[in-house]
Amino acid sequence: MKRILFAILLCVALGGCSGKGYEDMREIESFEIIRTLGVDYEDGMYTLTAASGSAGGGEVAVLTSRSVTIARALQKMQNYSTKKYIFFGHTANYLVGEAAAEHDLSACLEYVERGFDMRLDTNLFIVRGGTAKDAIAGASEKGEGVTEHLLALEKDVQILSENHIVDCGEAAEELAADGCTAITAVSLWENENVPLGEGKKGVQVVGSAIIKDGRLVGWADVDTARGITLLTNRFVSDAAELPDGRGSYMAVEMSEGETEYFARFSGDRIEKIIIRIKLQGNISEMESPADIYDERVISEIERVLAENEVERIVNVIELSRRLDADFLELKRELELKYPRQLRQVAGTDVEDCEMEINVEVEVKGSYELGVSPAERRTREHDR
Amino acid sequence: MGIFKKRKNSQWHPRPKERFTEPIGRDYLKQILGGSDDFTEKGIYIGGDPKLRATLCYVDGVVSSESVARDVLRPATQPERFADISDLPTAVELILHGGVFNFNVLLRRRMDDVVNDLLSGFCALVFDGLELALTFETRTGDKRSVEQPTMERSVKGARDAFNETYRVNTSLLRRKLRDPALRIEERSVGRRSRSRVGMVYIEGLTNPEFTAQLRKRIEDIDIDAVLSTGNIEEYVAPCRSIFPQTIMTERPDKFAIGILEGRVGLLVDGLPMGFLMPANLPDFLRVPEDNSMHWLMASVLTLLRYAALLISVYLPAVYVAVTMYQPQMMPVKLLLSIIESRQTVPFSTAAEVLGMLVVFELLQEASLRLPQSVGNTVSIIGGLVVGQSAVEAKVISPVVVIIVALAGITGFTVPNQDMASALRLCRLAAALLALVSGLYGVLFGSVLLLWRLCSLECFGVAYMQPLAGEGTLRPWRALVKPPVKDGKERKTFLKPMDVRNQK
Repeated sequence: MKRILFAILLCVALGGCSGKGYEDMREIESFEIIRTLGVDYEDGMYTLTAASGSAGGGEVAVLTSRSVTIARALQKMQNYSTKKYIFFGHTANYLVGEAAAEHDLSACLEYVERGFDMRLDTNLFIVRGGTAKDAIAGASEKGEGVTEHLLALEKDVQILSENHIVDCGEAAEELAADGCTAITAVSLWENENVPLGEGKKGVQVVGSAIIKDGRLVGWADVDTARGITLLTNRFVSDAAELPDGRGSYMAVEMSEGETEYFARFSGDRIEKIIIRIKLQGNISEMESPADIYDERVISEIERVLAENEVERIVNVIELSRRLDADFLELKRELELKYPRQLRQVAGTDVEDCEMEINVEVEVKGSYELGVSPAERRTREHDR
Repeated sequence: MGIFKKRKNSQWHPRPKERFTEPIGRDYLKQILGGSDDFTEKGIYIGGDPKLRATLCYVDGVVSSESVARDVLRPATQPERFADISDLPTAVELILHGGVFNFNVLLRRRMDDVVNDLLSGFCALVFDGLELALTFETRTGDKRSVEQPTMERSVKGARDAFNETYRVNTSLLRRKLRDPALRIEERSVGRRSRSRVGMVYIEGLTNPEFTAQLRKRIEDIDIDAVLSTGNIEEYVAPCRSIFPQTIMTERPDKFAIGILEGRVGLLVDGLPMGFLMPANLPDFLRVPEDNSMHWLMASVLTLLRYAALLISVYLPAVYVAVTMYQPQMMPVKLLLSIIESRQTVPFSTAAEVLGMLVVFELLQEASLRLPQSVGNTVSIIGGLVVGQSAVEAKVISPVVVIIVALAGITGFTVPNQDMASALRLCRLAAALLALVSGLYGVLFGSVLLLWRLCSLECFGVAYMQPLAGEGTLRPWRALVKPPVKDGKERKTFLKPMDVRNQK
């Protein structure tokens, strides 16, 4: 028994029971849980805007504070209320205003990396054409709040492979490794036609922000961002619409997509990079009177789809060349693929290399129950 | 613990080897027992001959008057039986060898034995001149019938339970184990209660070390009376741990299974329980029904009991630790919901949880001590009415009610009541540690608990066997019950003399 008492006293003396524990203790109802944090930069100072979370559609609190460093601004935010403790441990979204990203995104990520308040898996967004404060305050005016908007966006953009939302940890890692990355860009939108009780303002995805050497250098539009998603092997699914030239459309649901990179070496450098993309899909809607049992028709659909994809890829590569930014992480990809030619890969400016784009699209089939609209129209025409 | 140690100035009274040392005689016996109104003595003439005088003594209520009259008094006074007898020694010889219709006749030459017999359901014929007595077993037949177990309910197993009558209990066991090697060694324990205690084992199977240890421990018991299970348990398994050191059961089938596994058992007169030793933690999470189920189902249920044990001990503690120290560990939706529900609660989380744990214990105690019908009412009023009203009045948050109720319910899944009680203490201690230093405290408490459990031994067998201890460990045997045909060996850590239990 004496040994046990001694062990308890020892642990009390050395461990968390030294009185420090009580200091850390807080009643849970005194917490203001911050779900979205925005950072803007103006006149050498950071402005932080935080939106709290609420259970079951309650009021969302929006707080702001300003200081030279983000850490200090966060501490100042604690003065918001004497009763409440502002808790950043559950921050789900981190919005960086355009000015702050242009100034230095790495500096904005610095606090997330080093501090223990926020998590590395916090989603990162760049606000295009505005400030994070406007986006957060605007989207939190009424309804679900900015957090719910952004969490919904995260799922929506993946469904159509429009974008890939990176978290702060991922972004910091890519910036440290390649110096470049593409981050989802959002902007505030306003819509008059909303159901009663919901907010008129919200946030929407408007492509990707291209970051180079820790700074915002350019933007990719929504379609180009879709190409980036495919080229970085983050494709989930997509729905392509094809006009048939007769005024009607067919939709092909792309369910699988894979990109592979190959390099042809010449001396100390890469001579050519071959990008091979394989896409698979099914016809999900068909209004045009095309005979999908005819292999030539299917081949034609596949060709058109491949051409569209090539066009999109070319846009991405041109953007990469124009900004001189390897946001596709091509170099890292090739270094991993060709470890024996590491020197050649390192010595090549991959964005400027000759590129061969090879897209293969396979339309696997469709489902028919009864008579399709196309067949119905053909029959009517015959009659 | 110092507070329970013997005081320095207290005098130790050694147990007297022989309490009544004078020769056997009617007057001396009256002096010993005569002060009590239920002591009855009656002078008789053996075979109706006034020269052959004896005194018939018994304690009313302990013996059956009818049996005394029919089986002792009547044959002893019939002249035709003793027609040729002219002196007392010959008469005693004749009675001892069938002159009286009683199969259990004992010749006593010490007053101690006579008094013991009288108090144990015998009547005595005291022969003053010879300084001896003959005692006859004429025990009363008043006893509780064999009923269903109340604490360890059976679904598919046998429905009989031990009762307070020692001999009934041994007979129930004999009916289960008709093994000639089954041994029941009886001793008398208790200075004043003189209770019969039977050590049960199977010769050639049970490890002799266990029987020798238990025999010695029983002999060393020097206590006024054995009237409760604790009186005997703390002597035969002398350990101050809150965790039970003996498997206590009211079910003869469970007792028999334990004996067959190689344990040594103990039956005590007056207690409707059997004790099995040595005990190990996994044994407290098994029920005899496991043997009646498919092995997979039994194993899943055992795993569930382990999970329930952990939930029961740690759920309130983890809730306190996470909400007060590490809220980042909680899913955000749950966190927001808890914050919302706690906005109007006037107590701190710790006070709320600890208070509710105490209230839960009080409710449990209240419903246990009251008659069954009233007990149910208390449970309903306490659990439903007070609980719901407290939540509606926003005195406590609904989450805490759920947490404490879950911890309580999962605690009830532990089949052994002693183990469940020990877990209740652990639950409270873990919650207090969580209050002091969050998850660090819970972790520290867990390490301490594990250390204590791993250092416990019962009859030289590690308490955590087969999860931890010496020799070849088979941890899976604690969690998984193998199919009957695959479990050909008894538990090796019990060191049985006969290892195989089937072909």
